[in-house]
Amino acid sequence: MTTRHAVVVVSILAGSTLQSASSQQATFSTKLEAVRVDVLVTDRGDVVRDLKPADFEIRDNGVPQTVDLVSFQQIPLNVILALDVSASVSGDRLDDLQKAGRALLGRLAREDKAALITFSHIVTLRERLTSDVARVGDSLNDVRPEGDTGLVDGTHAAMMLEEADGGRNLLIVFSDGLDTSSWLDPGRVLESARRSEVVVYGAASRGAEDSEFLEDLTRLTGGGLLKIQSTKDLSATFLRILDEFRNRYLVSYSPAGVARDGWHRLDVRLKGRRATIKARAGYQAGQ
Amino acid sequence: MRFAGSSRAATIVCLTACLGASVWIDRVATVSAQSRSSETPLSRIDRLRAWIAAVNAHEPGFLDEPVEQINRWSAADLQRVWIDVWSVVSLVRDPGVRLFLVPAGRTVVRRPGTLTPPSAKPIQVTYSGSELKALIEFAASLGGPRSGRETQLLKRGAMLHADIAMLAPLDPRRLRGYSSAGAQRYRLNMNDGRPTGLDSEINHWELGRRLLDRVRVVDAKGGVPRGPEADETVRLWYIATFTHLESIGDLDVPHFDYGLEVFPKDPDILLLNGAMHESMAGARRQRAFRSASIPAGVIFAIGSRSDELAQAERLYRRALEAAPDLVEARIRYGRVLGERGRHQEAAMELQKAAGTRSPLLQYYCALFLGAELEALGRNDEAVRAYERAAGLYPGAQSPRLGINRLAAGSQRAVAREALLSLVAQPVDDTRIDPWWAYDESIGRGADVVLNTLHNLVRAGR
Repeated sequence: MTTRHAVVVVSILAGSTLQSASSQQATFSTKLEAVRVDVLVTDRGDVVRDLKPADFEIRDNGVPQTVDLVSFQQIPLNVILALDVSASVSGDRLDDLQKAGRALLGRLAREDKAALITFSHIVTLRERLTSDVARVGDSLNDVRPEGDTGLVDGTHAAMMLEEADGGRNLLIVFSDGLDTSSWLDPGRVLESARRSEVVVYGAASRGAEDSEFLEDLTRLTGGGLLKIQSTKDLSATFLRILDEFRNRYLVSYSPAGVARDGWHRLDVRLKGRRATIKARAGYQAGQ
Repeated sequence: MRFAGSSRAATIVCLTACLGASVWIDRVATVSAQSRSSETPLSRIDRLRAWIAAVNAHEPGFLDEPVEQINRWSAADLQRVWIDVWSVVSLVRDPGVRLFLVPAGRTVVRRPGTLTPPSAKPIQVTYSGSELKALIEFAASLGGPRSGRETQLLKRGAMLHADIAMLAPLDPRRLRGYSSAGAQRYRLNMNDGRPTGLDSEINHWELGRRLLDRVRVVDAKGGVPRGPEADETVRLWYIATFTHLESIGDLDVPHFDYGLEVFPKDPDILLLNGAMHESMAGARRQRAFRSASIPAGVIFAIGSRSDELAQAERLYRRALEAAPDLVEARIRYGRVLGERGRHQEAAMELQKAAGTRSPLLQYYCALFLGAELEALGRNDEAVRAYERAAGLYPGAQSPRLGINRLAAGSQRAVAREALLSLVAQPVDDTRIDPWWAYDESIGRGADVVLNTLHNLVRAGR
C-alpha cells in the first residue's frame, strides 16, 4: 500500500487512460491511488478482530471493489481535539473538560500525535499536531471560557489540521452548547468533510435538536456522536472514543469501474457474516 | 463602535409583557381610586410638583440626583404622575376643560410585529376640588397653549425617563405588590443561547412614550397643530433610544413597534426596526427563547426565525423605498434575502452597496457577498469578495474561513496555512472580527445620536 493517506482519490497514476474524454463520465480503468476507509466492526458490541482483506466487501457507488490491504492498530494516530470553551463551559464543566483532555492525552502512544483547537466565537489553534502531548495538556490548562459558541467554524478549522501523510486522523469535538455565532454554513462544512479523511467523533451534552450538525458530520465521516448527561462523563467518553478508534480497521482499495469525480457512496460489509459496521458514508473525488 | 475584541458581553433580550389592551390603564384607575382613601390630596400634588422639579433639574444624559430620585419611585406613583401630567397638559391647551380622559393602552402586541388599537374606552380621571385647583395653577404657570412650554415639559420628562431606563441601576424591589402589565417590562437575559434569568422592572420607556404622545407642534402661522409625528426631537428620541438598545442587545419589541407606529415612513426608524427583527431571527435569541421558562400570561413578542426574517425584509425594503441611498439598509436587506434563500437578489443588492466608504459596511458587504456568490456557485468571485473583507480586517477569521472552504487545487494549502496562522495568533485586539458584533453594530452611532438629542432637549426644542 502506498504511504499516502488519501481517502479522497486525488489523482490518476501516470499512464492511466480514461474510457471517456469527459471527466463527468470517466471511469477508472487502471490502477489508482488507494482509497482508505476506517472501519469499525463489532458483533453485539464486541470488536471483531483478525479480519483479512478477503473478509471485506466494499461497494463504491454500488460497484464491488477488491480490497487490497487491511491493517489493525498498526498506524499511529493523529488526535485533534476541538473543544468548546464558550461562556457556558465554566466552573466544574471546564474542570471536567480539562480532566478529560488530560486523560485522553495520557492514553496516547509514543508515536501518536495530538493537536488542540478551542472555540468560542473565536477559533484558537493552541497546538498544532505534535508528539509532545504534555505541551498540549499544558495548553489545555490555560483555557479560559468566554463568549458565544462557534461550533461550525471551530470544527471546520480543526478539520484543516489533518495532515496529508502519516498517521490516522481522529477529530474529537466537544460542545455543551448551541452554535450561536459561526460564520460558516453547516451544510457547506459538511461538504468540506466529504473531501476530508478525518474521522469525527462528537461529545455533546445537549438535546438531539442542538446536535444536528455533529450528528450529520459524525455519520458522514464514519465516527459517532456520544451524548453525555453531564460533563462528569467526559473522561470516560473521550477514552471510549479513543479505544473505539484504535479498534478500527484501515481498509484500502483501488477504485475501479466508477466515475472519477463526484460523490462516491460507500457500502462496507463482511462477506458471509453478520456484523455491525461503522464507516464513512462516502467520499468526494475531484472538484 | 462597540467591538469588544476578544470579549463578548452577555446578550440581553427584553420584551414587555402584555396581558391585554385595557389592563394597564384599568389598573392605573384602580390604584388611583384606592390611593385617594389613604393619601391626602396634597401628597398627590406634591408628587407631581416633585416630578416637575426633577424633570427641570435633570441634565440630559447624566445619572444625576433627579434620575436617582425618580428611579426610587414605585410604578404606581409614576403612573399617577403621568395621569396628572396628562391632565395639566389638557388644562394648558384648554383651560376650561373639566373632563379628564386618559387613553387605554394602545400598544398591545398580539403577535410579533403587530400593533392593535385600544379595545377599551378612555378612562375618566376625577379630582377633588383642591387637586383640581392645584392642577389649574400648574397649568397657568406653564403659560398659554401657544407658549409650547407644556411640550417642552413632556420632552424633558421623556428624556428623564429614558435616562432612567438607560443609566439607572435596576431595582426590581420597586415592583413589589404591583403587577400591572403595562407598567413593567420583563427582560430575558441570555448568554450564548441560554436563558440566564428573567428580570422585571418599571417600564420607563412606556412612560416616556406616553409623555411624547401629547407633544404638539404649533405652526407659527396659526395652522392646525400637529402631533408628535411632526416633531424632530420626538423622532430623534426614538432613534436614539433604538440605537442605544440595539448597541447593548436589549431588544424591547413594543418600544420599537411604538416608534414605528408614530413614524411609519421614516427610513431610519424603518432601518432600526428591521435590524431588530433581523437580530430576533438569530440563533442566540431563537434558541434562548425556545428553552426559557416564561411566566404564565407574559408574552414575548418574538416570532419564528422565518417570520422575523420576513418582517426584517419588509422593513428594509420600505426603508430603501423611502431612502434609496441608505447603504446600511441595502446591505442588511441583501443579507436577509440571502438568509431567505434568494441568493440572486441578495447578490444584486449587495453589489449595489459595494461603493460605500465606511470600512465596516464595506466589510459586511464583502463578507455577505462572498456567501451569496458561493451559494450561486460563483466561487472565484466569492473568494475575491472574501479577500476584500479580509483586506479590510486582516485579523477577522470569518473571511479566512470562507476563503479556506472555497480554495481548490494549489490554493488549498495556501488558504489552509493562512487560516491556521491567523487562528494561532494570540487572542487580542488584532483579532477583531466585526461579524461577531453584527447585531449590535447597528447601534454603533448611539452616543452621537444621544448627544444630539441631549442638545435639542437642553435647548428646549
